[in-house]
Amino acid sequence: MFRLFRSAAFRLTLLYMVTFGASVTALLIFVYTAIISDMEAELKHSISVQTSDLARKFSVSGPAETAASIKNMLEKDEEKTLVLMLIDRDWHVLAGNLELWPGGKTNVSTWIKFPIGKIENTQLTPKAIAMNSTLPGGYILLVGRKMQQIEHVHEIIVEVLYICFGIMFVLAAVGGMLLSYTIYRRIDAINQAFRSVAAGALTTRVKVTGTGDEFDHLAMHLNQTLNRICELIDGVRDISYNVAHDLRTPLNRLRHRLENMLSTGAHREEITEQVRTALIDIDALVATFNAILRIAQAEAGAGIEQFSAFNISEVLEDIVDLYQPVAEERSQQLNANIIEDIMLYGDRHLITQMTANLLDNAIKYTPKGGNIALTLVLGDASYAILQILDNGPGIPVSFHHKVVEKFFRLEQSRSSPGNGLGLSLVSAAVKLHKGVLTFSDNNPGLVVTIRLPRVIGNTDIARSQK
Amino acid sequence: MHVLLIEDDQEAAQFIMKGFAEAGHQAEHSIDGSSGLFHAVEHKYDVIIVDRMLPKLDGLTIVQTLRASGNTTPILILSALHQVDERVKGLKAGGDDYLVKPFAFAELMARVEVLVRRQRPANEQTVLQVGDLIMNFRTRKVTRGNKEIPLQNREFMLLEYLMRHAGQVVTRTMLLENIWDFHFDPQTNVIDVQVSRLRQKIDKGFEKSLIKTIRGAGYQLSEKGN
Repeated sequence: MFRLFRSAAFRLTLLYMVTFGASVTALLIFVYTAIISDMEAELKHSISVQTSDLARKFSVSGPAETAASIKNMLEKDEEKTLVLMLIDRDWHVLAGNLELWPGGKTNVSTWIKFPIGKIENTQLTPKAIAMNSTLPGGYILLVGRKMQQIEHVHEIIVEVLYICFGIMFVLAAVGGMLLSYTIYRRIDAINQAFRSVAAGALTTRVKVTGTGDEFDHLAMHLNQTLNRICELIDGVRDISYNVAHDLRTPLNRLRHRLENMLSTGAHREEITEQVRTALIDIDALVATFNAILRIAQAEAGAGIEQFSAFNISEVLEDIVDLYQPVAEERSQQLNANIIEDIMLYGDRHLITQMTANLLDNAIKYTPKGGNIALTLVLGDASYAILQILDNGPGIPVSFHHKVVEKFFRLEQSRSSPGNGLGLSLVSAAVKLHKGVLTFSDNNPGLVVTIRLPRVIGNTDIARSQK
Repeated sequence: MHVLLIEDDQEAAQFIMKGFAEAGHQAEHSIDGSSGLFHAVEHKYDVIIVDRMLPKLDGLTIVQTLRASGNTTPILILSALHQVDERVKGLKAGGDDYLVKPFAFAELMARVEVLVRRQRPANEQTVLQVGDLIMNFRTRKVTRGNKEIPLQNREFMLLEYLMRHAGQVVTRTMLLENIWDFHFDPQTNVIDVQVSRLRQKIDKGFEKSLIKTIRGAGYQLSEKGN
């Protein structure tokens, strides 16, 4: 059972109930006041009319006639709502249906409200509203109405109010519970998934219901976060595993070389040559470590603070310029087609290393006399597309996703120098720049396509930074 | 040349000191940051080599302190931190060069010599000359003997760097950093090919070869030898 009273949804429902109740109450009070005051005004009006009628009669025909006509009025009053009384200056009642004179004797016309008699079989004491006015000769006339009707309306409104409250409370409570339960169920699914993740089951994911609501969005974001965490953990696990294994081979070779030097019979020149080779081995190991570090930094998103806008066209021109002679030395054609002044927001050094790795590969694996091309074009409004094509052996399609894994090397390239990290760095660099890396077949050869988000406009930023 | 080395790794320091001694330089060693700073302030050196991470006083702090006090001795920072932004930090603090561990002693030596040479007043000359090789900045023409040698822009920059450091060893990394502003490890011998192409233009057809390959270190432009 979920803890209803501590749930945020329930508290919201309660707040909703209170607000809703308050507005309904305010509305009813307004309606009530409007109706009652309207009814009262109507009563007062008819009282005033009757008062002036009687006063006129009094001044024309005198007290006796007036008393007679009052009696007559009371007799005719079938609904028994009239309250009338006429007294002389000595408090003698000439006519009227009240046992006692209500209120004081005044010289001005005033409105008074007073209780009259009891209604049979009830505790209720109905009220009356009346106006007393002084007539010539000290006579006082009281004209009034019983307020039964107003009281009746009052009772009805109060009753409606209670019923409204009752219905509202039941509806709000049921609705609130349903709402709380729905929200609770979704949140609880997330809580349970994360309890399980925290307990070590890293592959647990939050269920996405498919309604596309906020909870689905939350679930998707949480799942993406978990996926990313898993990727990073796997990356770390892979890298430590691979570092341990893949560095054994060069370390083993180095060890043998050193042992060999220790062994007797080696000539001085031979030892010198072995030491040189050993140093080259060590440099290769250091390069591997550097590559691992760079990849790790790129994957961890380090260096994003150092991102700046730069002219990738210029950078690529420089790299091609650097690699051109190497290609020529191998009788390879290195053609570049670079659209000028394309701006990128990112890490210039990382993009440089990335491109250098791809050109290194292309030059290394393309046979003598082969063709290599580097192109940079505008993809659409916000992307630049960098392509590096060669007509070397290419990468079999089934390995396209494998080659970016750290230390992965194709069987046929194991004999050539390299550490199996070049394309991992390319992949990490592309990801860091929110780009897309794809491999495709050049029949024969490899096409590496990299889509990178570009900066639109202002090329002056990069020029000034150069 | 008078060198101060501030380095807490005893063994590494010993090798570096030995290297400088063999090259005929006078070198002193401080084992921690505070004694290093003390020496740097008390004595006049041609160059200071300081490790990035040191006990007692951090390498960057030493550099900043020296620069704040008006000391202009060239400083080379050694570091195990590889990131490009660490390098930027080191140079911003006032270092003149930044070398990542592990490094070849030849690399350190070459960089130190370049730093010490750079200290001499910058000459606003319009012509550089090494032997019969002449570089004219006004006309941007290079001649050897009486023969004009046409060079592309980068080749010109490469030759200029070699000529400015004539007689010194410059390493492949130094060329990559200074001419192309690239900080990465190329897997192919890009620099060697660039230099050999330049050498083709400069030395081919001449009796004396000016650009020499220094094994295990880099290159040197010199009129001596051969």
